[in-house]
Amino acid sequence: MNLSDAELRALSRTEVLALSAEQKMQYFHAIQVRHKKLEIIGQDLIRLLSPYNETNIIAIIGATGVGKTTLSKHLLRSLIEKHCSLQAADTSSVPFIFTAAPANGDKSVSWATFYEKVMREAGEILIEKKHANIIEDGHISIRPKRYRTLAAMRDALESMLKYRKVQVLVVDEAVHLLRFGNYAAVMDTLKSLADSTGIKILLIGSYDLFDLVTDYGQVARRAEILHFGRYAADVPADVQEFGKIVTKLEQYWPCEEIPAFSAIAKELLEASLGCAGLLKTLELQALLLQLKNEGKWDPKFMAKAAKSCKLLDRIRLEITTGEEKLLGATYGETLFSGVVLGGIIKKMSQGVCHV
Amino acid sequence: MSEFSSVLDIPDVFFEVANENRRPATTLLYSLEPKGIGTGQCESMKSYIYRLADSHRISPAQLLNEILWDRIKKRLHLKYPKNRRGIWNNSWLLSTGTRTDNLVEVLANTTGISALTACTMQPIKNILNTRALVSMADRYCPECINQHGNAYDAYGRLLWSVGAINACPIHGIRLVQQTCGAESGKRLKLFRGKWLPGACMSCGSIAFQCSAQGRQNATEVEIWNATQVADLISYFPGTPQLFSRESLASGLSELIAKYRKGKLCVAARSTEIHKSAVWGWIYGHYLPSLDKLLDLCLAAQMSLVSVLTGAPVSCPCPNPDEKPPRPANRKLPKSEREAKLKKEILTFPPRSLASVAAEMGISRKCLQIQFPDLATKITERFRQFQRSQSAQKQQRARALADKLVNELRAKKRPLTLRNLREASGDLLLPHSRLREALKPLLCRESLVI
Repeated sequence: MNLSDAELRALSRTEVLALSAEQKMQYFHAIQVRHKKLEIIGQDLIRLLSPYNETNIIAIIGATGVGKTTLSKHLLRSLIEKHCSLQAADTSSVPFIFTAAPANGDKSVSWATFYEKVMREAGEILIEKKHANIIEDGHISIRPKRYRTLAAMRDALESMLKYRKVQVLVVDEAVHLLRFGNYAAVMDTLKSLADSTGIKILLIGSYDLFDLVTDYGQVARRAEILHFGRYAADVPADVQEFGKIVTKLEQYWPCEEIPAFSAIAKELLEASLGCAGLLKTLELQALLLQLKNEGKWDPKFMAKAAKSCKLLDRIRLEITTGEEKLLGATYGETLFSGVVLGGIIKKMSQGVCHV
Repeated sequence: MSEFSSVLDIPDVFFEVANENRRPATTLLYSLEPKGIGTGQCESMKSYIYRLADSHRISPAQLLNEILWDRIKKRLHLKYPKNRRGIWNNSWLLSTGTRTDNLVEVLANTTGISALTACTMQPIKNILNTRALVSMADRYCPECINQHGNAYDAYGRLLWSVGAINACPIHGIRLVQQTCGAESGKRLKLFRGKWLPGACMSCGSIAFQCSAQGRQNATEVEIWNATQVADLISYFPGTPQLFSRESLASGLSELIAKYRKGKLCVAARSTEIHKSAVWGWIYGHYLPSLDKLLDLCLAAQMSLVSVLTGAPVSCPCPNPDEKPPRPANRKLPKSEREAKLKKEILTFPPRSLASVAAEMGISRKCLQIQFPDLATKITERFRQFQRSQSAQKQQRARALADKLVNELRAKKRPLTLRNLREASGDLLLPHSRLREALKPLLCRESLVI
């Protein structure tokens, strides 16, 4: 089913019900809904991507399935559309690049592979023939037949980022960069790439990214962390918002018999740990079971649709540990927040200045 | 980044499609702007290609052969064998032919830059004679290169490729040929040279610091000629509107009217141009060559651009009589040629027929037609000499190979390529004589490479 976002949105309910089982699965898999946490993170991200601040490295950290990749892909698509409409004259620029950090079984970070991936995303030519310029003592030369070395790939990448006027490099699954690696070395490499080319690097990953970004002061000064949190079961506003997500998804259920998910919104919140992505996974599983049952819904499907208890506990532990680590470390959690903020607002509105 | 607060207007419901385009449509190559467009210091196409290749961190040969060549071949409907590439000399890159035209179009499509025609002599295609218009030798002005200071900012000017010019109009010094002045030990081996407009390809010296050629002051006439051509080049982006054959004919007529009161024969004689040639230019039978046209403009003290636009304007040269001497007419009569060829048979070392013919000022084919026996003897003698030289070099390579092998055996080191390279101080590139000589020796030993 090779339809674009606009074409899928234009499908009527009758047309959706007329799709085959596989197409219905693809249709429901592609659906994403707007919700409060997505909006807040999106607005913060746009502010941090402004070229008029010193933030070079932005990390979006959150639990698995909370919607980080969804947000970044939607942002990228919107920025590309905006860029195409504004910058029709500059057809060579690639302002935004999205790539995933490689996890190909190497025992340490393969920077050459990473650089190659970024260049491929930008449509670079002859990647296997890149060479590095050697400038020594007023002379310039190249090493014969030494293509695709690390120095060559780095040199070529910096040149590509400069000539293609790249503004943002999005690295998904950035946690792969620190498996088996030296955190300081990884962040030094990313920081020097951002400094030398003037781009902003957006890292997306789980709570493990926190250690990477906050390892030492030089990097911490240029970095910000956005916490893409989940909906908490003990916060009434969160429960209400989660209920809205469930209702929205229900409206797009691609079967005639629509399960009453709204009635069990609270239970669904518990089963998905408050993550919109895990909720989608659960509902997809339920849809699959309903489609295999010739479209007839049976509430017993919920038993198999949800994640197993031990797996859920494992994810919950990871999330709670990560959330504790992030307390006080994210964008907006500053000296001027909380109780102190109230006092500051009062002083500034009165125009009082104490020297 | 423009203000995009509204970019993230997340719709209530949206679809994340798996195969969505994550990249806007872009050009294949970077949109590198050519330097100096619209001025007399306009960049040449050759320099532009060097800089474009360097920005992609590949060699110009790879850019031309692997990216551009297939596109050009399709446009020209050329049928070349699979492994044969285009011949990328100055004529192809800078002149006015169909191939240059297609190269410019292909580059415009792949880079998105439309002004690249100004980096070639294309704008004066049907106005001036293209024979010897572009010099095949690479020349540069040392002061122009030095003012940039680094290899990346320096660029080659189109003006330096014009055959009729041999001076820089800005610095008033003669252009210098790109020859390396470094000692042979400091020269780079094959495939290590970096092709950049501001660096020597032989030793890698930035801003050609290796060159032993001193600065030579140009004469006033040479500077005047260079200034005229620089002015012409500065009009390049807009030449179709300004210059035409009709305007050139009208400009020439008016020049002769002003210079020699309409007496064409007198005007032609004063500039050592045959009067029929000037007739032909005025009546559109032939196109004038740039050097002859400059001579005429110099004699009449009129600017070249104004003659081409049809309204000649005075442009005096400070010292018009200080012309560089013309090379002597080398064409010999037939009897003298025969005598020279007979003498050539007895000289040692023997020379090729082509070099003998060049000295006589005629083509090799002409000699072969006029004196077939003598030409065949000279050719055979030269080939025999080449074969003997080659055999001697092979013998020397074998002797050196034996010496290296014995040296390594004495030191009890394995006969690997790395050790042989170290011992010989040579890269031992494939097909080099020394490597070919070592091959049979290596096969006899159990080796590790």
